[in-house]
Amino acid sequence: MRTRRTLRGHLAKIYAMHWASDSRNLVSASQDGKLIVWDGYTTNKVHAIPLRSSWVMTCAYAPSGSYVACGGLDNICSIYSLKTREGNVRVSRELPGHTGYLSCCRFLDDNQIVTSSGDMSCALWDIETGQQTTAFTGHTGDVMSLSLSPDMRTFVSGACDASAKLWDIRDGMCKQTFSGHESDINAITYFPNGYAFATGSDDATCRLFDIRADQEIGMYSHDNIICGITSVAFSKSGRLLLGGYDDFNCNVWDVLRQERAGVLAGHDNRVSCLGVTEDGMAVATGSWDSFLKIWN
Amino acid sequence: MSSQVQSLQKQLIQLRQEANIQRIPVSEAIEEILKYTNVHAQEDALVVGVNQSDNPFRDQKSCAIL
Repeated sequence: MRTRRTLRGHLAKIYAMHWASDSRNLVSASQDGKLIVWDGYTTNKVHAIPLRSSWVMTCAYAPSGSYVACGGLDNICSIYSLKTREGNVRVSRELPGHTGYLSCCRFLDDNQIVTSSGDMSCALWDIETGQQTTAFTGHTGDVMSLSLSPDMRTFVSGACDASAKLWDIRDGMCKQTFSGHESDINAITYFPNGYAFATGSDDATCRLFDIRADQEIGMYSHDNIICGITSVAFSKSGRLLLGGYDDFNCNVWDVLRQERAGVLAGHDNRVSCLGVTEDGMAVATGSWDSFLKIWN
Repeated sequence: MSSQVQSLQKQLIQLRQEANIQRIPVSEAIEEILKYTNVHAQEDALVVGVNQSDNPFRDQKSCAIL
């Protein structure tokens, strides 16, 4: 794998990125106070959205491509409409309610979004009314990350209490709790078949948990790796697990062999976020060095 | 005092529910993962690689301004 594109334009650390469903556009969030929507094929900036609060920690692209969302230390999830009649991008809804920072958000559809927060809870919101439909409580530490299942009926969350939890979106209940990590879980992502998920932690390991077996079934670590993982993503078949690390690299793990299959080196600072396109064609990494890179 | 007891009771109910779920053996779970990755390997560009002619992210040709 090589760097195919470098996206230059942010003026400060990038904290989050998310691919659009078209596997071409992506949105990134930086503490320079901007959300940038990029055309990954051409590197053109499609939108540069100034934020009301520059302390952004997460961003998300709606599956329809019509909205993006972001949030951070302002405790608010802000929804931006990309397809207004006037042709400009504007805030279409603000979702206040969390009493801690917004660490992650993901759209179910144009009207529903799930958020995770430093207030130790997650929430499902009705965007139209601006209300929390469901609160997901149970974690005993800041919830750092969430991942929606392919069938959108459940999601998993990872928290600073070193546990991951599986939630039923409709009834708000925690169905299962997964232990094993020895420190904060910073990142979590579903395996493509929806029956397993991977986590990345400050304990310098990534782990694979199986939902139906209700336990950890794999661990990805090396004695030489002692820094935390900030972000994780599977390749389309689930054979590769990519992890963004504090040591400026992205390690590529062979999920089945539990060994490192490669390294994506190229950033000059911590890799804070990464994501694989829906069509599996490429992976994007975002860094505190203010650049995004696209690799395949 | 009683709210502490209530909270602990709720935790107990939750833990019992989580302990009582049906589980499949790890061997079966791993089989499924192996099967899935094998069946889908060919459509995974990061595993099998991609022809540069089919790669939407292929190196861009630079334009010469005459």
